[in-house]
Amino acid sequence: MPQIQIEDVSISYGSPDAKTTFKAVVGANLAIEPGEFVTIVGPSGCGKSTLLSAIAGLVPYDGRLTINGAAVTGPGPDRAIVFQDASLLPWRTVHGNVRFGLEMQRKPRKFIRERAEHFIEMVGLNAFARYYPGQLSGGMRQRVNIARALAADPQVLLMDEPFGALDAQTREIMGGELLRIWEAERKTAIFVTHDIEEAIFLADRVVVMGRNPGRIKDVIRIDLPRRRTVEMQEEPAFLDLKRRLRAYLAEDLA
Amino acid sequence: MRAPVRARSGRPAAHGLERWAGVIAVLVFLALWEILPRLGVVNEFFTSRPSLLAVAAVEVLASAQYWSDLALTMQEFAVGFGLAVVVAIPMGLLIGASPIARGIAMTPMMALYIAPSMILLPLLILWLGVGLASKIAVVFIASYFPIVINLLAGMDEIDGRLVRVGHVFGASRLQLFSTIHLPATMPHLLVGLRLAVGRGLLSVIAAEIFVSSAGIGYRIQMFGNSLRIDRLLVYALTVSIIGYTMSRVIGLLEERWGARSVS
Amino acid sequence: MTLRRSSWALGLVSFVGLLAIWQAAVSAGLIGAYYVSSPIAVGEAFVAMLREGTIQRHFTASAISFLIAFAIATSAGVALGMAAGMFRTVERTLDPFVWFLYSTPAIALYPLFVAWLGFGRPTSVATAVMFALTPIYANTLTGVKNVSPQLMRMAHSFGARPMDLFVRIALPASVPLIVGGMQLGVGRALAGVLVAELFGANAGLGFSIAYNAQYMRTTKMMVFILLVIVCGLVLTRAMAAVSAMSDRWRT
Ligand SMILES: Nc1ncnc2c1ncn2[C@@H]1O[C@H](COP(=O)(O)OP(=O)(O)O)[C@@H](O)[C@H]1O
Ligand SMILES: [Mg+2]
Repeated sequence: MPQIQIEDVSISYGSPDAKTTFKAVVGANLAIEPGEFVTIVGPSGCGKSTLLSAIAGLVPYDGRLTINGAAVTGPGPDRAIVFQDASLLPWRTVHGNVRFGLEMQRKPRKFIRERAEHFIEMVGLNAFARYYPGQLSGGMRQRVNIARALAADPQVLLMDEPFGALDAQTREIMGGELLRIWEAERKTAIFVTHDIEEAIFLADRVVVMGRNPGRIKDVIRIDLPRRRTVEMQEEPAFLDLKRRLRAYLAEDLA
Repeated sequence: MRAPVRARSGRPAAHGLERWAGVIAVLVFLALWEILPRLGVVNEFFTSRPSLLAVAAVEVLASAQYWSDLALTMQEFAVGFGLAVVVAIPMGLLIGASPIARGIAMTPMMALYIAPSMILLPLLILWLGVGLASKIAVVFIASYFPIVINLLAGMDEIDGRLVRVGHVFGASRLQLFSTIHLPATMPHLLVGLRLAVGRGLLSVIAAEIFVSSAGIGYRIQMFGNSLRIDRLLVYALTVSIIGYTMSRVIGLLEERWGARSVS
Repeated sequence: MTLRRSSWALGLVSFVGLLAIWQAAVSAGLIGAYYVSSPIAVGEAFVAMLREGTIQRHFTASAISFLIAFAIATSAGVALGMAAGMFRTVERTLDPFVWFLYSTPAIALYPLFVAWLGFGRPTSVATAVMFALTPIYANTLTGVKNVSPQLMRMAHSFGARPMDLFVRIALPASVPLIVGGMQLGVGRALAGVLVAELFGANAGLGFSIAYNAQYMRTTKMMVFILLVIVCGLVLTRAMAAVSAMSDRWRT
């Protein structure tokens, strides 16, 4: 049975005066298996973040959206979000930030400390546990974000362009790191990006979204072997997928 | 199905009851103030009541004395404040024009800017007597330092930012002053004026409470001593209205020339 | 306020210069010592009163009133500001009262406090609280309203309850602005205590200024005036240091 089921989901935003509504996503259908890595690509404004927020339980939706068979009615400990770096608490150290989700779950102190240390080590920030976010590079801050989400022990990891603010090289390194961690933890992962290569490199399946109205256009299976390597990006199979996806996205821009 | 997910913002939009919360709060406050003394829960002697206050207001406003008190207080304030503005602006611009002069003048001025000017009142009385002059002087001192200090702070900042640009275009000192310093100091001047108005008004009332035989401050003090809380409040509310009006006037000036970012 | 650029050296020059001019003017007979005393006389009187314990007694009296008032104003200002920042209904309910306090020079209420509380510490404290409350409230409110919605959203996604949002996000995020409000409040609380003491009290720096003035003891009056000025400078500097520390959070 799929872990996440999205059936005919539409999401609208009300204007401040609550008189008009804007349909950001219409009629989305998608089923995601446990342990799967799904990426979502599409032009900006097509509703990627909106769909992810609905899965996170942060915005209301119409339709059916279930996780392990239960309807999503709000945030829950079964999901955790990796945000962009502006969502780290600037007054807490790396360790303090990673603890946050566990504190919200009212876990015992000792458990929180050990778990936080474990995930700080996993993302390679041991030496920086006492640093504040302001003292870290963008890539390091995203490691903190990933560690914070993982420490909360979710079944589903939701990521909204987590590497969007990083330079190309750091981005590539972080992608590899993310896969290493995901392979160790085997969480279900949903990853939003507007970078086609990143989408292919990470995914078991790529969800392609289009706009006007925001919707899911297609879902493409990526049959590249796991243990992805940077070199793979030069192989014909990868380049082929890239061409296909680019054509898809170009349709929307025309 | 509409999923019952909570809105993400902790502050939902204002509507209905919320919009009227202020009015309701004031009405409840007035009602309690009227009813509690009547029920004997609090002693009316010390709190008065809104209805008594209304009666007192009519009486006080009809008396010639109120208007002469008001005129006296406003006169003391206006002269002291006016002098402060007239002296402080050229002083500030003059001292501010030289970084060295600024450095020398800043510390003592800062000291007097921070210290409550009221503590100088006994000294001023010693120098100038108990008449109008000492009250005008204390208003002057209270208003003078906020204006000068803010002007200096403004010039300090402008030197750092704008003048470098000006030098590039080969502007003369006088040109720099009139085209860059003067307009760019305006927001700082307004901040200074806002502070000066508040402190000046406070000082004139305080000075009248301390030593006087007429004026709004004196009358507040007198009615306090004789426990005429209703009349005391009429005079105190007069001060509030003056304060409110002046801060609105400054607010209008700030909308026109001020920078909301300066604080 | 930018004081950073004026170096210590220039400040010292002006301080020593002022003392020298003051002493010279009195010594040369340009101004009567009756009006301004002189630095030397003030210094001697200061030492003498320090030996007697007079300075300590009055300083302590004012300091206690100040600390009580500042603590009350800070806790009330922060609590109300937080509540108003989190709930718009609270903000709107408080609005008219805050506006009233903001426009009323608090001194106009002093005779009312005397009528209620008599002369002495309670009145000094009440006056000082009225002086200091509004900037602390207003700054806290601004701080809470400007808490990054991203942080609130993040906390919400991890299952934060309203109390968590308040204690772990809104409060720490507002610290720099709260400290800014306290910085404004320090000077006002000091003014409130001193003015109240000036008008009627039986101890304190403000009382000592008024008391010595009554007996035309210019030198002693000067000692206490200068002491107040120094206290103001020290308090402001101390708050500026605290503020600089809390500013680190913003980066
Ligand atoms: N809070 C909001 N209120 C109103 N409209 C919104 C809100 N958030 C996003 N939108 C609109 O919904 C559409 C989809 O936005 P989003 O999901 O952020 O797109 P993407 O992440 O794909 O760039 C856009 O047109 C955007 O303007
Ligand atoms: Mg987005």
